[in-house]
Amino acid sequence: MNERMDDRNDEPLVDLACNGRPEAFMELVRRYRERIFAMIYGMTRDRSDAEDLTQETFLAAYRALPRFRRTSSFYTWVYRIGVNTSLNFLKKRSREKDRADFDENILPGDRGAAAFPSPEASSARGELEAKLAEAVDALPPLFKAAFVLVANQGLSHAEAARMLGCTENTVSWRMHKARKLLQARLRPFLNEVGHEM
Amino acid sequence: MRCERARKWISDDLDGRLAGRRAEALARHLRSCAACRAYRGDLALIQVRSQAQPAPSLTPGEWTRFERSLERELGYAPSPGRRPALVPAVRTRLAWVGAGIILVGATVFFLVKGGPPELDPAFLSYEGSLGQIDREIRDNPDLADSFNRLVMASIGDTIRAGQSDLPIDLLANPDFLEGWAGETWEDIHNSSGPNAP
Amino acid sequence: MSKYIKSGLTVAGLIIFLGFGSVAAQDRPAGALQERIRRNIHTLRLLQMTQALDLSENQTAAIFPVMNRLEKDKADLQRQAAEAVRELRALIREGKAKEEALPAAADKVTALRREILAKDAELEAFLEGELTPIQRAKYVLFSIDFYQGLGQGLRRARGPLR
Repeated sequence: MNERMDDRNDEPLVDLACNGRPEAFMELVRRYRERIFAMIYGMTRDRSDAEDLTQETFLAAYRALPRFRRTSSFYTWVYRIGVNTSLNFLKKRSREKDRADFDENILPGDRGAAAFPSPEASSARGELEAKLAEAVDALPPLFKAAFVLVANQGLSHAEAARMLGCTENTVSWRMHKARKLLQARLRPFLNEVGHEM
Repeated sequence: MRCERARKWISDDLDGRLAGRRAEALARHLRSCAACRAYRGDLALIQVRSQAQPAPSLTPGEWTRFERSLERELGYAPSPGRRPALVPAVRTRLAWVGAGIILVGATVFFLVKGGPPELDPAFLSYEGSLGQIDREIRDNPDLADSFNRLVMASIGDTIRAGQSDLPIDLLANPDFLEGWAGETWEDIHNSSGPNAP
Repeated sequence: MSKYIKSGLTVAGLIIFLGFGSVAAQDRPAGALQERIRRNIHTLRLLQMTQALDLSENQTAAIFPVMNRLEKDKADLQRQAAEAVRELRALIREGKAKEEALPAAADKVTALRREILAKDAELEAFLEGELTPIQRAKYVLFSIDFYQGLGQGLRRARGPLR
């Protein structure tokens, strides 16, 4: 992860882009679009949204180039813009949609038999992944962002904290809360698959 | 140790953040608590499945459409049919190189021939020149006033000298006049009077 | 309308404006004079550039608004930078008492300087798209001549013994 975060051979392109050369900026876009898209898709779980937000991220980066102080690599800087863009989108989406609140104290079974369908043994593994995606998508935005960055993207708590603009401790607590919620929701499917560790 | 604390430490441990005495304490707790062992197993499975969920890839055609859309937003239009060069096109580059050769040649010529004095290093860029002027006139209102009169006289001279050459009616060009406040006209008038330098 | 009739009207218009432009000189604060000088230098630059590069009507229609906008942007940034420099100097004078605030204050000045330079770079990039190769070469020479001309003007304004 550190290696990916510390791509420093972008300096000549960044210099050109800062001096008003959009083709240099487009070259930087080509270098990092997949990684930025992957992270944003992890947040949104929607391909179309991820494409739009990836574009929004690079546009924001281009406009902010004069303020890029180069205290980090260009990739890390754009990645952070992407995280913020995704987080704003998630917060807006959760305000607009009706979502069932995760209640830590209520296990899925307590809501009644209809809350979760019984897992099918024959495709338990595939279903777990589908249910995992749903469950991650249903997390509160701040928990989701921390979980995607750390568990899905492989960032350390320190790196995720820098991206999210919070402390490592905060990331640590958000990971704990996110996992607790996911485990509560996915318990029926986890039992079907069995533990691999 | 209470299970609530143990579960927080299980989350930290999965992210490589638990060490020393805490790690030992957690290990001791897990030896005696089946519920927390099961919890750790669930979290480990969720972790593995999360890492195994890659983002969908976009096809090359989709990425091309993405780039075109971004270029439109940036107001940038590379030549169709090829990826725009990062360095200036050959023709443009030759023009700049030619200009540079002329500049260097002229400088060398004059230096060798003992012609016009060498370039004043304080006046080699626009902002550099304005900065130098600003530093000198800041605490010297007389110098500021004299210099301003010289600039206005130059404006008048330029207009009068170029009246048969100017291809356009500058005064009718609102974009040119945008920078001309009423005080500028006053300056021109004053600079043409008996006290003009 | 022929070029010469147009030019004649231009001169007539200038004379009329000069007549109407007589406003009693007032004392103005030093900062205001510096800003006027900056605007006047910008005007002179536009005029001389039009002649030196033989810009067409279409070119001036494209180039002037951009140069005017960038100049306004830079003037704003210069004002902010001057204020930021004042603040930084004040912090340095206060020494250890305000040491914690120094990095942010210094970063602010650096960032504003970069933004100002970026505006010049933006203009160069824009002109590259608007000028012919010959005009671009002439622009290089014009720029050097213009900046050196400012230096010569300042020396003249200083007088022989300054």
